[in-house]
Amino acid sequence: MKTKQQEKPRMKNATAQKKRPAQQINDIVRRMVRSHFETEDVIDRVVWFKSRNGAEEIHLLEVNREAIPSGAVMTFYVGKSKKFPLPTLLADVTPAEWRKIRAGKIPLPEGWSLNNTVEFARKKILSQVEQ
Amino acid sequence: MWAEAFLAQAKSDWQIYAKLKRANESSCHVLHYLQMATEKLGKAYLLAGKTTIDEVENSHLAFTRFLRFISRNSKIQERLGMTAVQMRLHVKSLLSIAYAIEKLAPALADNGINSEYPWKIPTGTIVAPVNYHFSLSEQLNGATGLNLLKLVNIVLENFWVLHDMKKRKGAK
Repeated sequence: MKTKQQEKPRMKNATAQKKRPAQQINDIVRRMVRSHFETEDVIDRVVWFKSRNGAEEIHLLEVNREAIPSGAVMTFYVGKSKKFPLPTLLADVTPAEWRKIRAGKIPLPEGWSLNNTVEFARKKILSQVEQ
Repeated sequence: MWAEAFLAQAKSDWQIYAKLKRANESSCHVLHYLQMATEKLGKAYLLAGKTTIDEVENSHLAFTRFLRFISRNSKIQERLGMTAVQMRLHVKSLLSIAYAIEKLAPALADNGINSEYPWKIPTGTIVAPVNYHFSLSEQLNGATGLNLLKLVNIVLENFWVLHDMKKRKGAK
């Protein structure tokens, strides 16, 4: 019969397994980005602001030629689905606004940092063979 | 929470809109409540997506912005049985009416046609909204208009489900 001391580490492992590996998150984000490029032909670039604290919420900013200019980064929630099972906050900005964001003239939402991003260019992503 | 408060007000405005429409009240009053309901719904959606209240208060075109993003929400796609591409095309067909509703707000009307205050036309005549024939009312009774109203109603009723959350305590 197992003692309580033997059971504790197993419970910790079980909790740890619930967290998605970084590679899996990376794959989901790439598939999501590809899907957005396929759906919206006015998106030139998607920027993934990676989480520093390991949170699973995905933060994506789309550089969209038809975005409504607002001078701010306004985020919307995109629901989880079987295909993309991660909570996602999405924003879109015009190319001019994106330049201002990079120049520090338009602030980013709290927790979003230009120091930890991955940029996806339309042409490159769509030219890759889908996994 | 700001999003809950904006949603509650949007729902209340929507109910008044429905009552006024059923009672066959003047178009300006019916459209005024529709404009207010949809503006607050757009702002509630932004707030639930973690946009700050300062940015929301300073924002215009919240409803049009909301529509462009709601088409990306997986739950609404599932609910309507549409793919992402179908949903995008569906919403795209609604945008011009949505923009017309949004422009009824005096702040966006540029001293012209709106649902609240009188305006002056180039000939010098001053027009009261209550005496004006809003063609938008007829558009809203057409197929595209009804689809837009249906979508607004679905989002109002399922707001938190679309955010992967259960209805919050105390929320209407």
